[in-house]
Amino acid sequence: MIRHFIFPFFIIFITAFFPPELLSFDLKSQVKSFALSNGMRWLIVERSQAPVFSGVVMVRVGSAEEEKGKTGLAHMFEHMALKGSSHLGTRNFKKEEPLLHQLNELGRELTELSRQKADAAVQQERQARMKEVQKQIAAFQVPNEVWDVMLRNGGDDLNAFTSKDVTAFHASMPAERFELWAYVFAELISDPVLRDFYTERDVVAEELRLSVENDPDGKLAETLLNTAYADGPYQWSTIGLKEDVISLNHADALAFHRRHYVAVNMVGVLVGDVHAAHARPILERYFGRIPKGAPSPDPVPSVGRGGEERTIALDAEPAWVAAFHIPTFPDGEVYSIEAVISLLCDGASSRLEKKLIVEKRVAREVSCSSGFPGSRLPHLAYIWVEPLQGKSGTAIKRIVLDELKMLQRQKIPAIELESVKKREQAHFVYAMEHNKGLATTLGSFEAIFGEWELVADYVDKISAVTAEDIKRVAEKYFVPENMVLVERVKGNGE
Amino acid sequence: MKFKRALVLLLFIIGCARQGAITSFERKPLPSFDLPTVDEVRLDNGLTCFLLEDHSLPIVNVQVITRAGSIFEDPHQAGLAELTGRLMRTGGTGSFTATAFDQEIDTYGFQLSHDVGREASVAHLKALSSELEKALSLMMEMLFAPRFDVQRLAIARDKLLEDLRRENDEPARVADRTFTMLVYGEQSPWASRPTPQSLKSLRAADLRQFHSRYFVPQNMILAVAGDFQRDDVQRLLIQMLRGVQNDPVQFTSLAPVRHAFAAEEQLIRRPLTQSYIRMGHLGIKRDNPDKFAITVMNHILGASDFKSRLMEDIRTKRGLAYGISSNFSAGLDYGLFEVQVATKAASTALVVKLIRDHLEAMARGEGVAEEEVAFARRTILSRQIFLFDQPFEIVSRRALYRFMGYPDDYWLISQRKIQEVDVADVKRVAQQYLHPAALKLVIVGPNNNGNH
Repeated sequence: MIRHFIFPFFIIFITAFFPPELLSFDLKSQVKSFALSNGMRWLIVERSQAPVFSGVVMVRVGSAEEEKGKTGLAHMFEHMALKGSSHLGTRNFKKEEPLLHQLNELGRELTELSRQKADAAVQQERQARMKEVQKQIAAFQVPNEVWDVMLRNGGDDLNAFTSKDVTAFHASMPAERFELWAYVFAELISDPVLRDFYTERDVVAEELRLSVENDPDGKLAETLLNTAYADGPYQWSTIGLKEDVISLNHADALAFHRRHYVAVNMVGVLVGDVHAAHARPILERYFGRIPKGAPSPDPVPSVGRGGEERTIALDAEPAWVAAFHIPTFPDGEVYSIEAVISLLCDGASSRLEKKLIVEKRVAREVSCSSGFPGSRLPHLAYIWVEPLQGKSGTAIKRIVLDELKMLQRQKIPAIELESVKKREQAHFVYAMEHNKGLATTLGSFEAIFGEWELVADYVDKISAVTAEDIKRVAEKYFVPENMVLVERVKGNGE
Repeated sequence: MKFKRALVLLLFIIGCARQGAITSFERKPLPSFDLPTVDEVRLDNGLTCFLLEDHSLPIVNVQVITRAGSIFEDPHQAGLAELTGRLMRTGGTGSFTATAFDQEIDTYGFQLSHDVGREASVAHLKALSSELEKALSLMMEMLFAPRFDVQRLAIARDKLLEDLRRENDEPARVADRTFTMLVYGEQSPWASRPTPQSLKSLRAADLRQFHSRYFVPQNMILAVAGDFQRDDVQRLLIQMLRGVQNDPVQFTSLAPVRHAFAAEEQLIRRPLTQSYIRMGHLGIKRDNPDKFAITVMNHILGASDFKSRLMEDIRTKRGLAYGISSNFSAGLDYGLFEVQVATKAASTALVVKLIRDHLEAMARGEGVAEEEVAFARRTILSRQIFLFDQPFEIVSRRALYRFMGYPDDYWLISQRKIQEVDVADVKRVAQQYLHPAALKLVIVGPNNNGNH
């Protein structure tokens, strides 16, 4: 099984291998791209099968931009962006603003007091004052007005997500509401007002509990990152460390926004019943006022640790993951690496599924992915196995390493290679079905690599992979010296 | 005096300008949309087919719904439907060994799945249109000529046993299943769950029997959308289904759900940092005409993203949860009304209390006014287009309506009915169908402090 980690890599490509009548699906020719006066890039794919569109705005900033001690900030900010602006979410910003300033300062003080484990009475005093200000400020606020406006106008799947590499905001809407979409999204991106920061921080703490603390797979993923990286921007999970998250303050979030949410870091994508000629002036009107800014430089990637093994014990069924350090675009190796992953895990007849599930019967499920935890920097490709009861991690390790050795020793037969290519071609076409999926993928490639065309070229590139290439990357990357192995066993303790 | 009035006026204008911006965007009413015509064909063997051609992408999606699910199992054979459904997909077919079948699927990049629920099994196929015939033949083989390979049965059984084991690692799922059992009773066909004993007792012969009893063309509805020619698909189906066994189905009679309401609690202790809470009781039946008003009422209570009462209070205002929602389902028999939330352990009692308060308030009709009801109606209706934004969604929804015994234009009927729901309706159904004094409460979490 291929598990898609936020941005599926190996989807979307076309041309040469399709019969002539399908060449009309040449993605490259369907994407209209332009930049606004401030450098914000836009991609538009016009298709009017249904009178709806999906609109995604991606900012080239994610958890990788954070610093130790303040992890989880990118994600925290993403939560705040939907709280509105100086126009949305308020009845009277002139009256609201000073109260908000007061409230946030109290929140910041309380955070600091809590961190220092100050006297309970002192903390309670701040809490009481906050409650007082909250009562006053309520008169000037319209809670969740963004949702109000979007939902009553047919907004569907209004949401945002944060990864290590990007922060994305999305909504699908009826075509008639395009200008409303542009207005709202421009407001959120350019002029976020940090309402309810300290309450929302509690919400994020709940999310952290849900997705890491009380989720054995979340814990395993977090441990994998900590093991694979001693330091550096990919070492921590996007949601951050709990002790960091609960100490974040609103000034951190404001500074984060000021530094990174600039036009040159942003890509907008529209897919559906929109027309570039009509859309462009509207986009210029609302998004054109965002300051140009300077591009955020990439953080320095850390050197990954190889040859590391670790075991954690949790009160949950066992799991096993082996991860390998791999390069990223524009390194040409990525295509061969994707082909290896497909060979290993894509489908019931893939090498690992066949061996682990059908032949040796040691696993319930096998899934693989690259792009973990992100893809902007050199990252990890992983093989994740859920053992059947009583089957040991040692047995799984031996089987997996044996399969990798086979790839290193023997070139794969032509028929198997053909199968990989056919499959990838099919997946590409499938990925074009849904407006949101296509918008997200195009946006990711443009935001992360500055080259949405990589998406359109993918089929050609992967179709050019040879059996020799596969053998070569198997020898280079899928070896124990480059491997990080984490096993989760059933037992007590954290 | 004059100055003050001018200032007030100025502020009023500034206030209006902001509203004005949004209002101007909303001025054009959302148009009603017309659905493309879906063809309906009934084959001689009783298979109902819904077809919708769409040539914008070289893809075909095919879905087959069969009235076959776990509610038709004998209680001591819990898991029979699930295992049969899975093995149809993984156990090979008449023409292909299991391994060869896997290979065919992977070589062409087909996506073929088979999911079994309580009332129905749903098979889904996605393929490039250039390979439609091959893909369709694999799907038909899966449905009508499964091999039930004995080795693959053992593998499927082991997997299902492992699935059950691992469900315990997910507190949300533990909470869901415990709640369902508490409301329906463990013996109810609507709450049954496979056990290691029931699974280990199943033989290939049992699966064959279940399959041949229910998986017949006259018990199925097919929906196909995409890049195909209607006549071709019809011809292929007739050809592929020739000689397929097609005896009328003898459905098991179902034990009716006892329509009763009584408060009850189940607390499951787990060493977690959050409590996973479920609260509710029985819902309604599918044929209940109050379901539209209940949909609006439930939307206000807990189904509107971020704008529901539960969400605005418990997440937005108090920061006590990442998500909270309520669901009011209408089933073949009584459905479920369920509120779901997870909150840090220390807030458990408070959140339970807050939910109770909200349910009591809603049952009393407190605060139910035109603005809230109008917003709910408008939200539900204005996003309806998204139920039909893909050809496959259009055609599979038609199939679903037919399966449930609804008229073909059910979506239009429901549109009209929702539009007619008013404040009085919402108050009436809240009072009649919410039972805040008779809630089933489930908490999966580290301590037992819950509902006092």
